Amino acid sequence: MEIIDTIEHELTGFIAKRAQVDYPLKPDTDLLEEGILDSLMMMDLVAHLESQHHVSLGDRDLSPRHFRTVSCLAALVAQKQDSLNH
Amino acid sequence: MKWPLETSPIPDSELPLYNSYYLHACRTPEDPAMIWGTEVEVSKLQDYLRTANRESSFLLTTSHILIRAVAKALEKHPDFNQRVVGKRIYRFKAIHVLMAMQDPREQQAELLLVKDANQRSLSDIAQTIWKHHQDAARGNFTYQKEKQTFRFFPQPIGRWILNFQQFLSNRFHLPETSMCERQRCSPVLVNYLGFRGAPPMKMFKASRFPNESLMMNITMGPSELRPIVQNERVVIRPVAPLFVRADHRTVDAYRIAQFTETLRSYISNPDQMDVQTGTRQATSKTKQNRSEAKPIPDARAAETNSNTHHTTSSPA
Repeated sequence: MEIIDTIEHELTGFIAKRAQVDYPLKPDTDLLEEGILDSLMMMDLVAHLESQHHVSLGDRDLSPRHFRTVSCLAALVAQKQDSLNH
Repeated sequence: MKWPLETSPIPDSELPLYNSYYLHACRTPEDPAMIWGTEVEVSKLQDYLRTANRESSFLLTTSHILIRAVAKALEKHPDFNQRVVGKRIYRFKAIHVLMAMQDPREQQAELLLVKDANQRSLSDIAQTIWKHHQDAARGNFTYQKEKQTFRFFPQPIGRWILNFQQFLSNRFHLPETSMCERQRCSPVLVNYLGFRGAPPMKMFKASRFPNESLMMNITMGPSELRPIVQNERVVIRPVAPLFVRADHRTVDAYRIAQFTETLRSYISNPDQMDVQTGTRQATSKTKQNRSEAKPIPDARAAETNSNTHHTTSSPA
C-alpha cells in the first residue's frame, strides 16, 4: 500500500503541475470529468509513466478505467511494476 | 502500386465557371482560399463522451469525434473530397483524413493520416490515434523514417528535396508511397486546438500548406460557456469555435456553407453519425470505389436537419 501511496503522491504532483490545476487535486478526482486529461496531457503522462516509473503501457492500458483517477493510474503502475518484478 | 485519385480528372465542362477562373487564372498573390468561421454547441458532445467513456475500451476525446465528423461530412459532400493537380481537379477514391498532433518528445507538430475514416468506428479511430501518440512518446513515430531521410542530407540538398517533392506532388498525379502518403492522400487537415490552457479562440486563419492535396483545413478551438438563444430563451451552454477553410478552385461559398452546417450537426450530435463504440462497421469499399460523385444534397434538407439542434445569439 505504501508503494501505491508513493506513486499516487508523485502522480498527483505531476498532473497538477502539467495541467496547471489551481485547486487541490485528490487521488479520487475524476480527471476526465474535470477536463484535466486531454490528448496532450495523456501523452505527457504516458511518457512520464514509462520513463520515470519504468513501465510499458500497451494499447489496452489506455482506457478510461485506468486513467479516470490518480488512484486508478497508481494501481495500474503498481500492477505493472509487480509483473516486471516477478 | 496504389493510386489515391480517380484515373481521369473531372472534365472542364463539368466544373462550375467561377471555380475555373480560380483554377486557370489564379496567380500569386491571388488567394483562392475562403474561410467560414462559425461556432458549435457542444453540450451533447460532452454528454456523449461522458457516457461513451464509461463503456469504451479506449479513451475517447473530442478530437476523435471531430475526425469522424469530418469524414462523414466528406461522405455526404463528395465535392469536397477532391484536389487540384496542376490545373485539373481529381476526386479521391477513398476518404482519408489528415490530423495534426503534437509530438511530445520533439515538441513539434506532426501529421497523422487516418485512412478510410468514414468507415471506421469511433473506437477504432481512437485506437489508431492513441497508438501513434504512444509511439511518438517513445520516439518511434510512424513518419520517423521520413524525417530521418530528409535530415540525412546536407541542408541545401534536404531543402531542395522538400521543394522538389512538393513540385512533383502538386503538378502530377502520383501513386501512394508510405513516405509521401500524407502529402497525396487526403483533401483535409483537421486541427483540434481545444487543449487545456488554450485561450478562447475568436478567429483563426489556417495556413495553407504548400501542398495542393490539402484543399481544406478544419480547426476547432476550445469550448467556453456562452449565452445562446434556444427556443427563444437565453441559456448558458458550452460553445466551441469552428473554422472551415476551403478552396474556390473546387467549391464555392454556398457549398462551404452546406458542408459546414453538416459538420456542425455531426459535432453537436455525435449520435447522428451512427457511431458504434468499440465495434467496427462493415466496410463498404466497393461502394466507395464507384467513380461518380454523389449529387449535391438539397440545401433545404440540410438546413432542416441541423437547425433544430443549435441556434446562437451574437457573442456576448
